[in-house]
Amino acid sequence: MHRRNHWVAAGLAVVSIGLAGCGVGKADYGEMSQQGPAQVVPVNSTINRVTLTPEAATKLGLRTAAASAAVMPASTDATVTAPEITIPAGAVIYDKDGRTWVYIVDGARSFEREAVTVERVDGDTVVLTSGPKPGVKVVTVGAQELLGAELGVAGE
Amino acid sequence: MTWPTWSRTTSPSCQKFPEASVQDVTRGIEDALNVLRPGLSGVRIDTQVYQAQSYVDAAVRDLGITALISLGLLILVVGLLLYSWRLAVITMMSVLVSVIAAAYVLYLRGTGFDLMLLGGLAMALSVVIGDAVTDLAEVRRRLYEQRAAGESLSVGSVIGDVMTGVRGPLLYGTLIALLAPLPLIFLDGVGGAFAQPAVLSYALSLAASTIVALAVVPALASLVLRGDTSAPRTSPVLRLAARVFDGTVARWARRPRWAYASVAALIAIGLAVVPQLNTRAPLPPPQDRNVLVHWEGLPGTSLEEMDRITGMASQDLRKLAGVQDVGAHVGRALNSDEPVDVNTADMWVSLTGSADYARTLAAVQSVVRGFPGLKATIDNYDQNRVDAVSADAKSGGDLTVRVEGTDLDTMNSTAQRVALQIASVPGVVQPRVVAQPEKPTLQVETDLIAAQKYGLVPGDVRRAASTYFAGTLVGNLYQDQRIFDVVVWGAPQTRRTPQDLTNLVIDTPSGGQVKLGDVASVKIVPFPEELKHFGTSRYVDVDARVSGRDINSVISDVQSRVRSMPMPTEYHAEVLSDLSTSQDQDRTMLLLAAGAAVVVLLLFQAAFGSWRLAALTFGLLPPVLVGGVVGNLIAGGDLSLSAMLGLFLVLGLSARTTVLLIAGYLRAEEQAEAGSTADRVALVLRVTRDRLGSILLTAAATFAVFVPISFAGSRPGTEVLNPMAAVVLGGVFTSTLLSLTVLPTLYVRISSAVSLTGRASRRGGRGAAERTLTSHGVGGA
Repeated sequence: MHRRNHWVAAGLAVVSIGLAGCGVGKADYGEMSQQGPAQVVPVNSTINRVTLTPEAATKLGLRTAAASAAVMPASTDATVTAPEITIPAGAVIYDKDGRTWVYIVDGARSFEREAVTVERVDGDTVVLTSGPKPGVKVVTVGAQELLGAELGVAGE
Repeated sequence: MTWPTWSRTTSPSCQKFPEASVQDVTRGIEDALNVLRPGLSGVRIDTQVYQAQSYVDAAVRDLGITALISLGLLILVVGLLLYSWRLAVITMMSVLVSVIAAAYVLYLRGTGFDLMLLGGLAMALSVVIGDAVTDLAEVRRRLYEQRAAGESLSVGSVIGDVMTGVRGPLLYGTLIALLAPLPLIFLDGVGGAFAQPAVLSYALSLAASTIVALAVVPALASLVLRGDTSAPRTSPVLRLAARVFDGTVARWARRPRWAYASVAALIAIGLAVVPQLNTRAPLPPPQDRNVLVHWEGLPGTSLEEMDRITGMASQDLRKLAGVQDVGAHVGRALNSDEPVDVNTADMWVSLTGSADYARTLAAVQSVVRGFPGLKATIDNYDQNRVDAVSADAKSGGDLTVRVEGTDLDTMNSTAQRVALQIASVPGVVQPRVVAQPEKPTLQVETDLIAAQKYGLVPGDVRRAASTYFAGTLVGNLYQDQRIFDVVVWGAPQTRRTPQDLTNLVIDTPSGGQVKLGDVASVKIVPFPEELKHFGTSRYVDVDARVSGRDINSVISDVQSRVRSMPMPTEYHAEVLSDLSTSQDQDRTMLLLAAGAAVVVLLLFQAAFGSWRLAALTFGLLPPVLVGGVVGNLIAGGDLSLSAMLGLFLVLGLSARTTVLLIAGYLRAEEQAEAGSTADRVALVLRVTRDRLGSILLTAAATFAVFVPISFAGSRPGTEVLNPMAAVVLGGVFTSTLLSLTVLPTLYVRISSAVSLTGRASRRGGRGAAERTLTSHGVGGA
């Protein structure tokens, strides 16, 4: 008799504690694994190398194009000293101090910033007086996001 | 309704005033749109992209279902344990009247319905049920005896007699239950905003239930029980419980070592568990099916680029299972409510009703965070509001010195000076000026001398530059009762680079023309994308951590340093600290809690007339709370505000039960004048056994209310009450166990030293009056 009462009491205890733990499904927004879409590695004191994961590159809709040498105008102005390079207009980005940069492709999905000097804008192409050599691929769509990944957005 | 393709839309966004009801505003907007629809042929209107109301609807629906289940279980439990439909009717009616009365008063006050209000009502439920149930069975039994003895029925006096003996202790118990959570209303910030409605509804429910217990229950009882001729039957559940009680408790009661050991064990468990809890846990996030993704690119990102990338993100989001639709705002409208720039976008993701909330949300997160170079935050409407309340004056760090002023460069240099000054204060770690995000901004500075040569003033330069690059409103065009703005703006291909601005040609007053670059300098400089204001002043913050010293002494040192610094006119610096405010608040709360504890102890003493008994009941409260705390640990260990409210429920329940029991013991001992310990133990056990029914019923009824909430888990509407349920279930279990097993044992031991006659003579006045009442009740009228 006593034994059975003990079992009943113990059973009640287990049941109530069990019921207490029932609502365990807490909604948590879940912390994601920290491997982000871009890996940033310093190259020197100002420039970093940004490497994207394949998914990140697809999501961004990243596009590249090769820089080409400008066709020299027939009427020569003898003051032209530097060879001119043309790249699509979307490749040039400004940092907060107003300096102009492009991202050149350096390996599969790896990009590095290079400073450029803009001479003028002709429609959809930009004529540079200094920048990547003709034939080097530059990022034409998605360069601004690469800058954001490199410098960090909003003080991160 | 989903659009077949990603399309451009016009998306008006409506915000309501803080006091307005979400439901009223939503309904008003829908009505207005329905009126407009016939005139807008060819235009599709979708109001379901983001509606705060949908969460309210889902919450009310889910809460309603859970409440109905609870009600059903409650009726079942009451019927099963009381085993008499009449008593069940009285109980249910008085519970319903109390809850409705409390809710009505809240409605009259115009308080909006919110979840914490419901939490308060839920908290008061055990008290309400206890009030309704106590001694109904006793009344019935006495009426039956009266009838059986052939005496003329005096229902009123029987009820009066039974209830009088109980009302005094019950009132003390209610007062204690009311007093315990009061310190919570003095919390500041988020805690206070949520605790106040809960405590308010709790207090109103208690008041309503006391009035109902004093007025409605006796009246109902006399109405319903008057015609009751059947013999009172004990429910088989209660009979089983009584057998278990006799078998186990009786044995333990004769060996008080078990009692001391179990109390000590509980306290030990409590001390082990409490440090593992997260006492600063926020309230659980509401399961709102409308999720807001806010993201921003680097300052200076163009509207076109944000448009492109937001379009791609929205496409990816819509492909997710569980996402019903996505709508997005890019940039900022003229009268928008947020101080953001074109480098931001808001995406509203609405989830389907059947979607797995946590998993879908995680999928949304992973999609959004998979875009490099963009910072994303994910909120829902309610979380947005909670964040807005808590992010008042401060940003990160323990200590902030806020430099307020007018000119940005001066503020920055002053902030740098401040950072240097406070770096040498012991305890301050790594002070730094909080960086403000800056974006490339075209700056045109007129060279006054050069401009004067052409007869130009800086205003001419400014007007030319802003018209070309930003556009100028020059007038209005009226057509068919519609008004159009006319804006003059440079053609896009003429404003691609800063050089274009330099090459811009301006007319001079003398009729000639001059290049802008000859009279002004054009360069790109960094400028903050957002100018932060506190009150009406601009500010720049200096953040620092505090370590190795007490925060308040660090703050006073920093304050004296900052005050002694010379500042330019109209600039000043203020020291702010969330840590200090929260430490202050902790201290205030501790003081208030200690004060409440003292008053509770005094109330116990007033109820029993004995300090030893007051100490006993007070000392049994912490072990009871341990049950609640263990329940919280099992449910995740987040001691959020709603879990703490659950602890107060348990406290109130336990206080009332113990007060009732001990008052019963005292009365029985006076009437019986028992001598030896064994006799006293037997007497005390008999009283406890008599009360077994009502104690078990209160506990079972509380279980009936909270188990469905616990099972409902985190659904809209119950996610706030869920932590409370875990605490309540654990705490009610320990409270019932301790009241039935430990309390009788310890009572006999602790009160044995007090002379019974001494106590009886002090309470003699009241005791004699009770006895007189009894004799009148049974015999006369």
